[in-house]
Amino acid sequence: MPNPCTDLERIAILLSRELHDNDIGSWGVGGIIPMAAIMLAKKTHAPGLIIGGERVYNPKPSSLAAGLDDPVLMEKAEAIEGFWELFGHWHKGVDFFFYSGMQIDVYGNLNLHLIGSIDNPKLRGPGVANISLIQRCKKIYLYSPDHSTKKFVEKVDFISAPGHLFGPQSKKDAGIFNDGPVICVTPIATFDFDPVTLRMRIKSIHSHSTFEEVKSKTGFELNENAPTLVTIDPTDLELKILREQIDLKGLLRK
Amino acid sequence: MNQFDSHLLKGKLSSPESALLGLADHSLLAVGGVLHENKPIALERALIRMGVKHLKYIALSGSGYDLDLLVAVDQMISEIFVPVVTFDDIGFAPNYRRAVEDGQVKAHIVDVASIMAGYFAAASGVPFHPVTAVKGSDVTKYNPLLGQIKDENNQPIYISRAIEPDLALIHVQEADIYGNARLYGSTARADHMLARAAKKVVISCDRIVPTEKFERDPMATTIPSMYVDAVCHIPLGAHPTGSPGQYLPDMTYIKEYWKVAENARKSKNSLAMSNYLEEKIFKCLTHQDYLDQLSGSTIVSLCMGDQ
Repeated sequence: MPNPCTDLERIAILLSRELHDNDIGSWGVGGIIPMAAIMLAKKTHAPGLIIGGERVYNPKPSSLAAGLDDPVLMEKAEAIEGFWELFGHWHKGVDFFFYSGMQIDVYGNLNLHLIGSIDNPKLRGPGVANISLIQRCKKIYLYSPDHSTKKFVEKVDFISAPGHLFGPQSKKDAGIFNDGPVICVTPIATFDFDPVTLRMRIKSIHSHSTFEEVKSKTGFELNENAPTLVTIDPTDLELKILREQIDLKGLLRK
Repeated sequence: MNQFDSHLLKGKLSSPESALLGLADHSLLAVGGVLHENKPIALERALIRMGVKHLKYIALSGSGYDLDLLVAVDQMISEIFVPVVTFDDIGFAPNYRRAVEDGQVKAHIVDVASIMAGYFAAASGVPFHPVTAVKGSDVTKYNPLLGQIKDENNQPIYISRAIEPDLALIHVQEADIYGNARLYGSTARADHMLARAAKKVVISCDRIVPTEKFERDPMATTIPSMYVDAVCHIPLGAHPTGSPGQYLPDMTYIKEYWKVAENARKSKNSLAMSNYLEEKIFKCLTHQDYLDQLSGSTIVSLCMGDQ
């Protein structure tokens, strides 16, 4: 019987397991989920993980922050870096960074700008500040708080942040040489990327879901014959630490 | 009287109206702060009342309420250079969306690195700055800030041309009457760069402090007075956005605005939006008029940190 937890809690916990001890990285605007993932990893298997690469260096916030400009992040931190340092991080990269998008395609390209065409947009989205970290950090962790055919598409309407573009050759041609997106966690499944084609594939399906559900909610083709694993559910301990030490305000339970 | 004399005699204290006087239509306006922190809203309200038209608006990383408000004013903004426009967890920016989707405003597609590089170049007094980690993205394809040069091996390198805004509006917590300014918050070092890039800088400050306060800790000065053209003493001048260490963003106020704007967008009926602007902006001829619309208890809870 899986623990009763919200989708957002589940995603944060599954992402936290992907993080490595002593790696340096951070998250972008509005990232309650990645922030929770990092904090949880620091309190479990990755105590030496460093939050760096964004403005706030090793913050010790009393609660989860709604965004990077949330005062809670500034109240206790080891340093605040300026935009000159950030410009360096954008170009040199750090170990990892998180991204999400309005649309995510099979190669992990992200669209946050528009639905439709640039000349005649059906929807103009918020945009994305940073298109550099995704191509310069070693590993990129993708996540999505929802899973639908509108979100997971074969090809994004607009490449805001480049994942694996159209596969290995196109990535090389563009001059992008990092690992890029390595994983994508959603409420029903975890994807990784085929090392040869760089296309997204199912890594594991969460215990409350099925292949049929994932297939019906995904806008690109999934291999029916590939063996798939069942995601290990969030454990009692993970949930306890998340709720009692990290998400005190219950932002992931809203 | 030369500038040196006037500096000695009366400093640069100014009303927003006289500080902003003479801003031409079609100017490039740069706004400091980010999203709902340190936005110079009182100065932006003064700009709205002045009736200046067809401005180009640029901001380094993210804008929300302040840009959406300016876009709500007919013909005030014609071009936008901002990487992210959003109300964060409240939703997308309603007037921005409407105006861009209807083609009334040209919202250029840009990223934060190319704007930063443009500010770097302008602040450094050089014509451009390289920016190389912008490959493979459609943003780069459409970004008007970027050009290309060839390096010594004949390989193309993206460059961002120097960005010199005609006017920068920056909100700070503390300034002296000469324009020395101290900024708290996550964008302090971004606005530090902007102040050095812009042709003209007008700051609003919550508090005026004596110059001795800067002399005691010169490393903490964000903007020395030489970069500042006018200082407007406007307590709560960032409201409804927050001013770190002074007051929190007034999310109730921002949400109320968002609802009015989003309903107007959805219903395609701009009457409620116009009424809102009339009531909250045009009717308030002074900052005091604006403050009088806020309740004392609201101000107290924002300043005392209650959420």
